[in-house]
Amino acid sequence: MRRPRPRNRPSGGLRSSGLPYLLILPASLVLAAVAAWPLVKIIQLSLQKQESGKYALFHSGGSTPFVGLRNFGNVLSDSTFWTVLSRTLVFTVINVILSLLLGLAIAILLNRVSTWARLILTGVLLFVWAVPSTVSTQVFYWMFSSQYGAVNYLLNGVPGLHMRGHDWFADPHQGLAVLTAVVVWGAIPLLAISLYAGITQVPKDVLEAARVDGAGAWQAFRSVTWPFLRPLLVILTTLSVIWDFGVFNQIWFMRDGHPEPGYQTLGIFMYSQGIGSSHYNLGATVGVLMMACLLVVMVFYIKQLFKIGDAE
Amino acid sequence: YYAGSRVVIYRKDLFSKAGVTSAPTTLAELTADLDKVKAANASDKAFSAFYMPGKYWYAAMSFVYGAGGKIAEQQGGKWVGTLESSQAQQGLAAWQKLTSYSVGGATKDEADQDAIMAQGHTGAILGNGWEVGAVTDPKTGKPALAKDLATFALPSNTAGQYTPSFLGGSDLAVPAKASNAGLGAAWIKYYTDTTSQTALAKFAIPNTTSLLSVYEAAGDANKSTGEAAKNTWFVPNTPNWANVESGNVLQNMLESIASGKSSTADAAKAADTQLAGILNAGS
Repeated sequence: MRRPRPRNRPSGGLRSSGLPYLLILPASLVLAAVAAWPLVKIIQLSLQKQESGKYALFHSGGSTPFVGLRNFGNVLSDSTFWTVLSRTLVFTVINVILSLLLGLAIAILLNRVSTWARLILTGVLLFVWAVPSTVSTQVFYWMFSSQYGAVNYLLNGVPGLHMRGHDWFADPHQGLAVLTAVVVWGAIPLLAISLYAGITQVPKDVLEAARVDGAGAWQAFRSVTWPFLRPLLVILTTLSVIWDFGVFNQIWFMRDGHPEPGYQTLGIFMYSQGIGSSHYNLGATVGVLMMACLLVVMVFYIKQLFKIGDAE
Repeated sequence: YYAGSRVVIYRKDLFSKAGVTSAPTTLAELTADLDKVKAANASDKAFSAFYMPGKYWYAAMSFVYGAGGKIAEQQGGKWVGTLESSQAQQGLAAWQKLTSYSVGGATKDEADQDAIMAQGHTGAILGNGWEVGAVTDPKTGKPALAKDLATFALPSNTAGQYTPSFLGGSDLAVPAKASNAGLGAAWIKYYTDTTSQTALAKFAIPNTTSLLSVYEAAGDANKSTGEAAKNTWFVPNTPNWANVESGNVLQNMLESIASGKSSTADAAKAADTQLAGILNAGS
């Protein structure tokens, strides 16, 4: 019987043949068309003059005179922009922390309960995940309505609380709290299921060894589970920061398309400056600034991706 | 080429139960009547004698124009916000009095006021004539209220006169770059001349006050909206006005007044500054 001949491996593997680049070419073309062209256009718009007329951009064939960084100067010297930015940062931090804590808590719960409970809980989480943000915002809007909302009705039943006709959106802080609830509610499924998957990857023998050594549940989590989860947590945190930084749907629809000044976050500010008032150049400027903020966060995400890639 | 005007849509059953048997002819009578209706329904904590949402700028500005003020005017070629004038302040105060009868609604606009009236805890709203149909709509309203609803034109401070109504409606235009602009203009001319408008006046408010008699004769329900259409106001005539609306200047000002966050004087001052900035941009 003949021994099978070992396959001849070309030196350098696949890299030298250029095959990988050929394989990602179709996807890159689509990405370039869909994402790169608008990106170029937005940067171009941010460097062009903002005419005052509402439709001046259309009258001048889609581009106005080049004015360099003047729009950036205008936006960065506007105190409203800095108020909006600081509000967005606080909103993002609170949302990310709450989403991750609750997501992690549910992930740990998923790991501990019986199979049936886990299946039901996962099913519920998937239903929550499937609800579009515009729909969930509308439902929360009805629940928190001052005149016919279920929340006011239920809370009014609590002795000592008089919530009849309470307007949750009169004070922006209360309103933003309601919005945090909507955003966190929608963010939990992805985080919980991803973190649960991460927890199941923690080697059982290491956990066993820790328990044999006398570690309590909290100690075991801190010394064993946490280091294994950290890469995943960094990725999920970065993604959450990016998503919560640009929250738009929930705030826009919760305020019926007219968010008051106290509700403006960067996403809303960019839209109402740019498309709402048809000041496309200013809107593009805010957009570029938003991207600059998020690029900083992206550095962590990409670094972590490379670390995981190297580990494999 | 046709218009709509706003009138007070009210629950005549609730009003007569409170002892109000005829429509008020002055604003003072209106508030006195509303006080009676409010007292008669004091046990219902969710009852609004008059539901006036905080962001309802069409209603609020009606009071401003009714008191002799206006939103903005041109002074020496530049636009100046005039909401701080004493007349405008008077009008805003009269509007604020109506918002005091509302339970909830300080941060909302009039988009869902028909659905709220259909719930049955509202004595009156200020709405377009067709909103009566929305309140009694079988799918989104309460058809049972049809026999209890009636309308009257919003009175002013003087008996026999009305607070001006915002005349909203539809317009026809020929695009500047149309290939047959002349034909388009001719079509619009025929569509909006007296003959066509007389035919249209049976169904909707026509484009001229001289044909309002035809409109009012078409039905009892048209009397109030016809009267309200005789005295109307419109927004400052400048292309930059669109930016005022998309910037929510008036809505934010009115919301802060209705929710008690700022006085009418302070809110008007902030709004006037914004109005001047937006209306004068680019000039």
